[in-house]
Amino acid sequence: MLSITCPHCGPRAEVEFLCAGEPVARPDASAPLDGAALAAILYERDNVRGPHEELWWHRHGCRAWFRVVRDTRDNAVLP
Amino acid sequence: MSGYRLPAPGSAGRGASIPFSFDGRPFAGHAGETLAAALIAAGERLVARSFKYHRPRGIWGFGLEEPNAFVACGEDPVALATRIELRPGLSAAPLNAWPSLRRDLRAVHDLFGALIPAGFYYKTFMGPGPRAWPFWERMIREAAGLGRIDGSVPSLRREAVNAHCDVLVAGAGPAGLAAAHALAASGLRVILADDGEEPGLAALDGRDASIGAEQPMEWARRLAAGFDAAPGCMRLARAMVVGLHDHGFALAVERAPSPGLDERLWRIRARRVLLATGAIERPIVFSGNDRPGVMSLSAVRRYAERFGVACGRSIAVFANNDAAYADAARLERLGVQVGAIVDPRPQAGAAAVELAGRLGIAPILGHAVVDVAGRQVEAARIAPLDDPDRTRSLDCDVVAVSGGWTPLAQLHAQAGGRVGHDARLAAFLPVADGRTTLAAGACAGETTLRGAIAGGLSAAARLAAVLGRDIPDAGLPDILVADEFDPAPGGLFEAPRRTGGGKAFVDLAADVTSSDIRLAVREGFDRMELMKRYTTCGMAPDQGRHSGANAAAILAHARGDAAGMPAPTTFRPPFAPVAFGTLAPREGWFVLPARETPLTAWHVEAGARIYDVGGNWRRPGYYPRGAETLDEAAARECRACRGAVAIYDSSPLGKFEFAGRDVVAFLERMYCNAWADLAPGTGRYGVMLLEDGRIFDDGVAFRLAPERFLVTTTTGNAEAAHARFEYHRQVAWPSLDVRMVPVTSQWADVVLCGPRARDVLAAAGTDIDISREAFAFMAIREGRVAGIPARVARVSFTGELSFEVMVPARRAPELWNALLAAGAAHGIEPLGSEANHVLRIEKGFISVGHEADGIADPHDLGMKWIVAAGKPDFVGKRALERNLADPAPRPQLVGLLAADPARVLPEGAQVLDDAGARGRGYVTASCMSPALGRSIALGLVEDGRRLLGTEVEVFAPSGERMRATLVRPVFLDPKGERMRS
Repeated sequence: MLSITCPHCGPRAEVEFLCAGEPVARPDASAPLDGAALAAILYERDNVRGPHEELWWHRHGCRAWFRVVRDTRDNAVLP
Repeated sequence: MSGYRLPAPGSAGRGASIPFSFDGRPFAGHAGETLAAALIAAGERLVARSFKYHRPRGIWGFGLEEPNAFVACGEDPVALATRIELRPGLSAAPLNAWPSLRRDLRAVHDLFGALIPAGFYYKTFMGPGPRAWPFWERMIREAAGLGRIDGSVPSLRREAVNAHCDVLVAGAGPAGLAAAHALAASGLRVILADDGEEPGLAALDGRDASIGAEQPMEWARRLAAGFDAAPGCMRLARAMVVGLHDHGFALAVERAPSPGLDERLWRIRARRVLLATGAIERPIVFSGNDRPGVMSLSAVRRYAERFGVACGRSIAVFANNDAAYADAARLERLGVQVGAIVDPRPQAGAAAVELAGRLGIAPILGHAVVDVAGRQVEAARIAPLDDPDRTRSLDCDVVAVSGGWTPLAQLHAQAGGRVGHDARLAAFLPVADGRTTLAAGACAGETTLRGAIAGGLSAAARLAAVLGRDIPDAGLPDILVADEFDPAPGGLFEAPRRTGGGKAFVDLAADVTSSDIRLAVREGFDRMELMKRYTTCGMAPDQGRHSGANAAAILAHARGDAAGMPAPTTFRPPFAPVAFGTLAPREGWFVLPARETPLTAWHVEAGARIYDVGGNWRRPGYYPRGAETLDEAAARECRACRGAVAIYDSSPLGKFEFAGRDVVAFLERMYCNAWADLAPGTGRYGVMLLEDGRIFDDGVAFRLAPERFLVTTTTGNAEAAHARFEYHRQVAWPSLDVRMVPVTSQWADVVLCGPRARDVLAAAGTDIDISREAFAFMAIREGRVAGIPARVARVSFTGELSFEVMVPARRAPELWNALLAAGAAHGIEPLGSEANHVLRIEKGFISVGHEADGIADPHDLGMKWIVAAGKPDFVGKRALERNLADPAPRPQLVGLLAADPARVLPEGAQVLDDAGARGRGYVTASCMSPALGRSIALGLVEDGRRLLGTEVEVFAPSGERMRATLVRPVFLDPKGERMRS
């Protein structure tokens, strides 16, 4: 179980959080109508090996959304 | 008979006599002994039968390293006899022995053993075709298996606790103890967990040595006492660290922590972890090495030292290292007769040979035990390495084997650490990587007492420095050890095979022989991971602890690698078997807490069938009266709603209050429909999409004031909606001034519905003008109902005139009872979720999870009207536009009327195309409608709207085919006059 440091509440156990994966910019009204381009925005993720920026939600705490950089090779949370 | 009690007791003392039973026979042992020790002392050698071949098995080890002696004991169907403490009335049964231990019919497996090579099961039973395996699997599982759970045995009493510390030290041997003591002295919070009864026992008990001015065990006791006295430090005895996970999270299982408690699970979060887990003795592979009487040399010594139990009358030592000679000497000193030392090395250490000489033993060098005589050891057959057929017999009843020592690096590897091969010890050692874990002592490859203590102290100093503490350099005490020889093995891991020699086991627990590994390599499974899966080597409960090093050596030898030792397979938690009950020690609600509304107690009292679905809420499904069935009760409740009045508890509905200058802009972007034009005091049905245009959730939102909204979501999606609201508020549009608070549990929600609802509300008493003219459909008012402050809204999910009354949660029972009393004269009935389901299908109202199935968008459900396409942006807008532009046919919401009005189309049934060959949709919701007197259904069908009026074939999950006509998806009051009345 990971230890995730919430910017408000400090280090807490992973079970208090929800991980939403890498941050994705919203396809706004100017996004392409082309299916493949839109699909890339909606569904395609980098799935990196190494430092991975991701969004976490402190669902059972202060409910803050925040960014965590986690090394997917060893789960080390980078500053 | 072989083992016996020595005149002198061991260091455990000889406690009170304790009766117990094994294999249905009565025995007696002494308090403080293990089951294994008592069985050996009683002369029992055969304690189990092996997993695959049902060969007779004895006891190999002293503790955790035991691969053979599995017994069923109490709750545990696969317990190690070496770890079961005797207690009065204990009853244990051998494993895999049918009909009995001594007369095992399945030993015929053994006779045909040569016919069961590696991969046999796959080749024989799966090869013939896809149907072969299911047939054979049942028979094989019946015959093999590892124990059977006895449901009549009461569960162990368990609990789980959380703990935090600066340093977790796993193992209280010399290294762990020295380190923990030093760390505690530096003021750090330390948890020291050790599997043994007492710190230091495994390494120091009975050892002829001095540490400073103390005997080893005195030293250990003094350090333990000093550690115990340190503030913030905690020592766990009989507690094994079984899992080491990311970020210093460890699981430890403590046995019998206090009277009345059998097991305690520790969930420990440590800033740093020091592994001082030690090492276990390694077998040597030779023909017949699984026979009862073949034991680990150190185990033979420990039984004598600890319990005063001799494992045999005459011990033949078979060892490839010098340290074994010291063990032999210790055995002799305890009165256990060592008849011979067989050593495959051409030469042994001079000091070791000299020590053996003093015992009157001339080691037989350059020889190996190549076989044993007897189904239980009666003699060892030894032969020179270069001529294994030139055997001679050596009388003995125990072959005590030492093939070197295997450091227990599992926890290090579990936590993601690497292991590296050490040629001297022929073992894999933890590679220090500056991360959370550090290793010391035998686990790190130390082979001397001095090295272990020094290693522990230096590890402690490193950890203290990392954690910002200083450890005063107390210096190493003078350490004197008698006869401390090198345990590094001299090459040989498998004895040469003599002609006609039997099976030579590598993995005793999984019944894997060296021939199996060689066969696997010949067939191409020449990596450890492949070989493991093909042969099952290392897949028994001990996870290859005793066998891994030998298996790697044999694999390397078989493939003739110059590259050296193959890396071990991945170590995964747990290190030792852990019961599910240990990990989840509390049952029922503690596993998945259920949620109750303030009215759940009333529903239960009223005899409702309670459903635990949708956000874990306990809600009434239906209220059967007398012998009513579900359908009958739901139909009665529906009739009350359509004909008079009904009441239901809608409290689980997700509720959120929003406020702020930009709240309208926020909701406009969250929902696909418009909000800006909503007048304060009214509500509107809204639909939220995902970014890919699919419907995520729906619900009514009310504008309480120009900048204040009460938003409702579905029950099941309340949590997910909460996450999305917060995400968009905090991450996507942080510049918007919006505040939100979830109020689901703060407001109870009671719905009055039916043509008489207005009369009942008036009778209950309210200061709100509830006349049709003053309180229009979709309006919301604040006031009092039955004297309780309330918000009342005119929304309807049943299609009837409805008043949704929201009151502070704790006053819900008061409101409920007042409304029931007021409605009694009108024939009011409580309504469960089953009736609600029927009522909404009759109206064609969509339900998230049924029609909004995660794929459908608003257009698919005929809700073009709700999409405010002119808005500059909302979640899902772009994808929705693209869906519309795509000419491919989409599933569309339709109603279905079965040709046979008495038959209810099963939910999930497929709607077939004209050829009856392909599904083009499915039934999303279906019921018998009391209002219409026939079955009705909703469904999603490709191009459904174009096909209205046509007949289709419906294919039920049972295989049955039925006919149905596609119709508009509304069966009752299409203009909505009833709910607006």
